[in-house]
Amino acid sequence: MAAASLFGADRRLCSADILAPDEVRARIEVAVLNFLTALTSPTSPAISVLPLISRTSANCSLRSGLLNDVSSVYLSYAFSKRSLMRESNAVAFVRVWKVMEMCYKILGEGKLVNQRELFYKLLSDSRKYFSCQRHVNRAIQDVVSLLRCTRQSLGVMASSRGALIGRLVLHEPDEEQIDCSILGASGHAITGDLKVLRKLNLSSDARYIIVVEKDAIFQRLAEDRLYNQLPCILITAKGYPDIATRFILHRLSQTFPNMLIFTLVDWNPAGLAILCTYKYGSISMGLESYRYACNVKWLGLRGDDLQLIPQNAFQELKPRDLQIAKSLMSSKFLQESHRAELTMMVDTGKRAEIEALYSYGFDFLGKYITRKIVQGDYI
Amino acid sequence: MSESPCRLTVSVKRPAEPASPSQLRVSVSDTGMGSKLEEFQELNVLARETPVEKWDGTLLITTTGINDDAIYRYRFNLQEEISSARFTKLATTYKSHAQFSGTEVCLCLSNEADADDFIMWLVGFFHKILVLRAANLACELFVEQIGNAESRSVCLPQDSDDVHHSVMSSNSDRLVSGLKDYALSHGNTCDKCDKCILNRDLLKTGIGAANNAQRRKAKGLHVEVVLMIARKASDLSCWTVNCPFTQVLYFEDFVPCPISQSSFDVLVSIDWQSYGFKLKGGFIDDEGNAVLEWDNISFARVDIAIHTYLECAMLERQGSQQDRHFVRKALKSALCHLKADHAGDFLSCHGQRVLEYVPDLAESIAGLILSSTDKEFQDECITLLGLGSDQDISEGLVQSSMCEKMVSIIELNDTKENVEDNAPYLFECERLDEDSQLDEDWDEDMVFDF
Repeated sequence: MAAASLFGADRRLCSADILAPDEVRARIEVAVLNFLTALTSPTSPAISVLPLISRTSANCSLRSGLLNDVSSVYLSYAFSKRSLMRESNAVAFVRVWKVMEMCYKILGEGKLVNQRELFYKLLSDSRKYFSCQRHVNRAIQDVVSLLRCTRQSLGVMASSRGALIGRLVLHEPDEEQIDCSILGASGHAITGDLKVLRKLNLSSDARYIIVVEKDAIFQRLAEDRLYNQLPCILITAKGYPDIATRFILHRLSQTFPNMLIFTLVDWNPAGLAILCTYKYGSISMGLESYRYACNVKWLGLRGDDLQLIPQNAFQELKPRDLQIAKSLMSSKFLQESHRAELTMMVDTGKRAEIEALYSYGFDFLGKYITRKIVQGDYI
Repeated sequence: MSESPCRLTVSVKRPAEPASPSQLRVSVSDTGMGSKLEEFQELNVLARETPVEKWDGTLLITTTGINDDAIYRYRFNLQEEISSARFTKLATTYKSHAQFSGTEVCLCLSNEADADDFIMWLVGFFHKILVLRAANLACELFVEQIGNAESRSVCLPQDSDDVHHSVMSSNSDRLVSGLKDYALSHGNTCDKCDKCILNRDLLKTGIGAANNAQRRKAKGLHVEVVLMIARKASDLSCWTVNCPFTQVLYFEDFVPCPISQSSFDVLVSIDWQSYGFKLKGGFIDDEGNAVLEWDNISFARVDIAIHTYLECAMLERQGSQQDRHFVRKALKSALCHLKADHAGDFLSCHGQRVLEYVPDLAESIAGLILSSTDKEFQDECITLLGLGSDQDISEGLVQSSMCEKMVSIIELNDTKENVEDNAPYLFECERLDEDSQLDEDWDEDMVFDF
């Protein structure tokens, strides 16, 4: 286990570059030429092996920022091989090439497609290799690991599920301004196109950003216009955070460094995992996601709040919850206070949802949030 | 084996009416060097095992050596307890001036329902002997009805249009020829199949031999293995194809016999998959023949013959350990021979599975190349592939060129060790840590990385 050190980690950080379409196409062309060179070598023809940066917990480490207290997970230079000759990964090998071919063409046409569209295209062309979305997503990440460029550079974006609302004005160049405090309860949908998000002008007088796990809670708080009582911006990814939501959150944190960022998640291992993803990044997209780690704080639900929850609102932890808990426990990055919360979850064997607070009335949630922030009750 | 040509004749005379109680007369005669009476004592055990109703234990022996003046006749009764009293000398005939040698043994088997079974077995046994095509030996089998010389129901061998072997042909060449005919007549289940005969040359042969003759203290054990494969149905071009079973022909000292356990163990334990065969299982049938069953057979027919013999007939056999070693060596050698001669046809099962991906991979890369607007890149690719830049390059052409090259690499490296470790990487890696296999079940929803 590599210890995090203040002056950069012991192992070198491996990163995916943000590249222009031509540069990515050039990398793909190099890949093809290398492949053909090895294939047609007069002395020792061979079918090349693909070296992919390992996206495993063994290859990840934690680094702390020098000038801020943002830590992130990053991947280093350990590789795993994809070889046509090895039966277990021959299919994955071919998938990588199929995705590269597709991306090459997409970039050539100057397009940007989302993962779902790509899946349908691949499904119709190569049903033998791609029978579900997961195959496509994984193959894309393999190409990211191979070419060391971001997913969006490949011409693929993930459709974002994110939304935000509150005291924020968005201004896309050459577009109208969007005042996010006067929107309907579903808020402003966050686009999956990172390029657009990058160009957004942001202005805000909020003091807090509240990241909400679930859409229902987001909408409740939006309808109640919490941001008129508390100067804040509400943001949600409706579950596990996607890159675009994390990206905009990161931009907000960069643009407004004094804003505090709180998360509001259910009291269960999955909630904590979501928090950790915002906080440190992810391994599966480790080559790019380290850039968007934010210093988020855990507002609720937490162990201290359990006294507020009626007994019958507690549920049993399911096997999947325990699996997640186990994985989190063994991670290198969990801070002590979070670990203590997790231990409590596992020990009691219970979980609780934020909605449980509605037993005190629908406006209780807003008051609860405000009180916690004012009292500085977060970890 | 004999140094001078010799004929072996087996004749079976069955009674005129099938239902009649009279006996089956069997006679085995040869033009060899004459027999010593002691040789027949070995049949003692056989006599005791056979019920008296079937065979009364009596043999009529006629024999003469080349230098003998007379032809000696004996009755030999194996049921007789006292070994010295077994022989009864019968009338002797004197040769005039002719010089010859040989032996004839006659016996009578009672004609219970077994006659047809016996004849069928005998025919099968004879067919096997004929597979060996032993040097200097002509074998004949006649089955006829008593008193009716025209009614020969079986006469072997039939006219064959096969190669006549010179005296100098090796045992294994003869065995190859015999096995080929055997395969073409579908294991002798029918008379020569006219269609298949035409495809003689499409059969693929693998020959392997092992012996310890080099070692000075050797006992001269030789093992020869011949494999005869019909690759596709079209190789045989008749309806009896894709036979999933192989009945292994096993010979010890030029005689067909039940397979030894050690040889059977070798057959079922050898790594067939490396040569593209998928063995489902094997068993030994009632007659002591090894039968191999193939899974999802990609070959129309597989025939195997194993022959182990001692160089000098007087030597004793060593233990089965040695046999096993040499049989394995010979079988492996035969398989390697097949693979060396017909590379693409005997690709290992693993290689075949890899091959399935090649067309799609080639299609993908070809599509990529041809979709490019960068002429320089395209030209470089086409040059690397060795395709002329003056012709119209189609995606299909690029794809097939790549396929060809990948297939030849796969065939070349099939079952070679350490190929993977030496395979080049697509990009240079700064520092390659130990190979960590990406687990296919790696993440479920890309959610829980920690």
